Amino acid sequence: MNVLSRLIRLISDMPAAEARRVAASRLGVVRIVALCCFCAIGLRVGWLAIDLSSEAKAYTPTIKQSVRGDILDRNGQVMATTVPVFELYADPQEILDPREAAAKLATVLTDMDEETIYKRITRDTRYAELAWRLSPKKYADVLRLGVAGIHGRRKLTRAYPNATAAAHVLGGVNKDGQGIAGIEHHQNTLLASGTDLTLSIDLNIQAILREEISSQIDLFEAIGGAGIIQDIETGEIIAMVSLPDYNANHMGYIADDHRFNRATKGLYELGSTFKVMNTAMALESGIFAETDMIDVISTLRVGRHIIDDYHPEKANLNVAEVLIVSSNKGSARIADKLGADIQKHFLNELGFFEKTALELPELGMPLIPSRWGRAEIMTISYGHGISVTPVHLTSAIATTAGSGLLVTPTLIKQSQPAEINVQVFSPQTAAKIRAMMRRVVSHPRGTANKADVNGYLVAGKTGTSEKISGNGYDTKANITSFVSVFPANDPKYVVFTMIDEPKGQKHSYNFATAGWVAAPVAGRIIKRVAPMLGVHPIDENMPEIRQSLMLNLPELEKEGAKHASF
Amino acid sequence: MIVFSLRATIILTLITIMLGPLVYLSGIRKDTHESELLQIEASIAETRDSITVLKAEWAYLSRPDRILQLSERFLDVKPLDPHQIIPVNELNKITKPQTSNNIEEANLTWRIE
Repeated sequence: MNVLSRLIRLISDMPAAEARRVAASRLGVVRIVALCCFCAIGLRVGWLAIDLSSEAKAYTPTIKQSVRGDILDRNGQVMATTVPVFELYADPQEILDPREAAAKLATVLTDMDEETIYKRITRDTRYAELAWRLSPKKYADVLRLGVAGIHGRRKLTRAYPNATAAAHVLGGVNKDGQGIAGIEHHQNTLLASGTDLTLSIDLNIQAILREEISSQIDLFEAIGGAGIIQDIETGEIIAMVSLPDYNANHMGYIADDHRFNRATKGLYELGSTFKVMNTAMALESGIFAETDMIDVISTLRVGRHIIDDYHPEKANLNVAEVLIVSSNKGSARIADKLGADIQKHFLNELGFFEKTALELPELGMPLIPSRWGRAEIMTISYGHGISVTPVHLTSAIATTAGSGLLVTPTLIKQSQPAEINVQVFSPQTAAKIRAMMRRVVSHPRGTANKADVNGYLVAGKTGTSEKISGNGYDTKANITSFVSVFPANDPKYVVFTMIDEPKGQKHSYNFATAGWVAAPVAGRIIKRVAPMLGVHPIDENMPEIRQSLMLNLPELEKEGAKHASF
Repeated sequence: MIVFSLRATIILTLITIMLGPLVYLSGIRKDTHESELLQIEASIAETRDSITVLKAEWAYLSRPDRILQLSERFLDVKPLDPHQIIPVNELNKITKPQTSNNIEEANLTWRIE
């Protein structure tokens, strides 16, 4: 300030000596300013030279994660992923020698012969497509051929490395990479945002389930089948298969029958498996005790129909025995006494009146009677007159024979058991039901002896029903199913198997019923998957196990003595 | 009163002259780093591509049905039978039956008492 004011004052009048001094001081000021400027520039330059890291940070590659998320199985194995592929095309005008080019290309593009390639690259166009999805490795091979006029365009495509395994669960995407079927469609928003999705499916278990069901279909010349393995505590679907299936990578070219998900969308009258729920209702409502006797001898007529049994009984049975020997007549009489209100209440609680909560677009809406009369009450008790999907039944059995808590099916891996707990049946009812289902497998009069696996205490129920055709039933076309829980003393998993239209075979003495078709395959599956699921074999003769599966079966014990083995 | 000597002026001028190339060189260095960065970015993207392809290929090669086929062909193993599994705390209950003379047969019939 002082300097500046003095400078201004000196402009008006000054002696020569004074003027020199002023000029020198002005010069000094200019020098200082210049020095400051250069120092600033110098410092900045020096700083740039030394500290490049912060500069580099500004250019850190921001490679966007906008690729569609992967779908993983519960162990982290890749089920669906997005991979780069190359679209290969030729510009015929750039190709010098089409003959030679075709010959060279044919060595790499093995799915086309030389002649086809030649025709394509000699067309009068500037764009001749050669391959739609070429792996990066093959594309590199093509480039190495050094053929002029061959071009590639990189793009991303969805790949399903497991091909057929869980194809129905996965579904697929369209050319724009948007989910159009299966979990790809249901979880499209999540996947499109780049987030990975972990399913409840275990690929190893899935492979076993598929292999066993598939071989049983072949063995009985059946037209299809389905299988489900579900965790009772969490409701997670560990494996789910619908056959015939298809390669998920070629979903666009697959026939409807193969694409149809029998496990989640197919509606079937699943027959006697419904007796499990019927018996649970009888006990839970307090109207019946398991020891109450039921008339299975006298003729049961409802309207024009007579309800009859596959094997007519010689003596009356108690409620438990009705389930074990699978008596239609007995079940119908029980349901008749329960009435429509109780039956509807429990079927509704078990989720039979709506689609399942599964994370798929392909879900079947059950077909229930519009008029719920006496005939309907009776037929529903043994699984006729109501069509549901296999997932409906599997979850309902998980509820009924598990702990009585409502089980909601899910395809997404859960970190903990479901929070909402609806107690449909008491644990006591569920335990009694399991003891009865165990006898279906272990008692000689049970229908599912072929499902027994030493040590895993399989408890189940078979169901054989004739398929609906036109106005009636087709006596030659059966749906055979078997639904089971294991181990019976402490149920962990439900296994459902269904074989569609099996034909009687020599090895099955011409039988094509559930006990011969669906039950044995379930036994084989359980034997293979139980160790993988961490279920340890136990000795059924241990006192506490025997105690937990106790039942009073007067009629069957009489017969059991005759069979000499129990 | 500050008066700069001739020497100081010369030094300052020299510094100024030297600063010019320094700035220029820094600019060049920055450009090199930038292009290196682009290369690295590209190679990251490429590596990422290969990782996804390799992951997919690994999933394809390790798919359970293939492993099953291979193990049937090359390994002498079969699925576990329930009687081959016992809880750890019952290991001490295993005894070897004395009756069989054939060692292999005896090995097959280890039992839980």
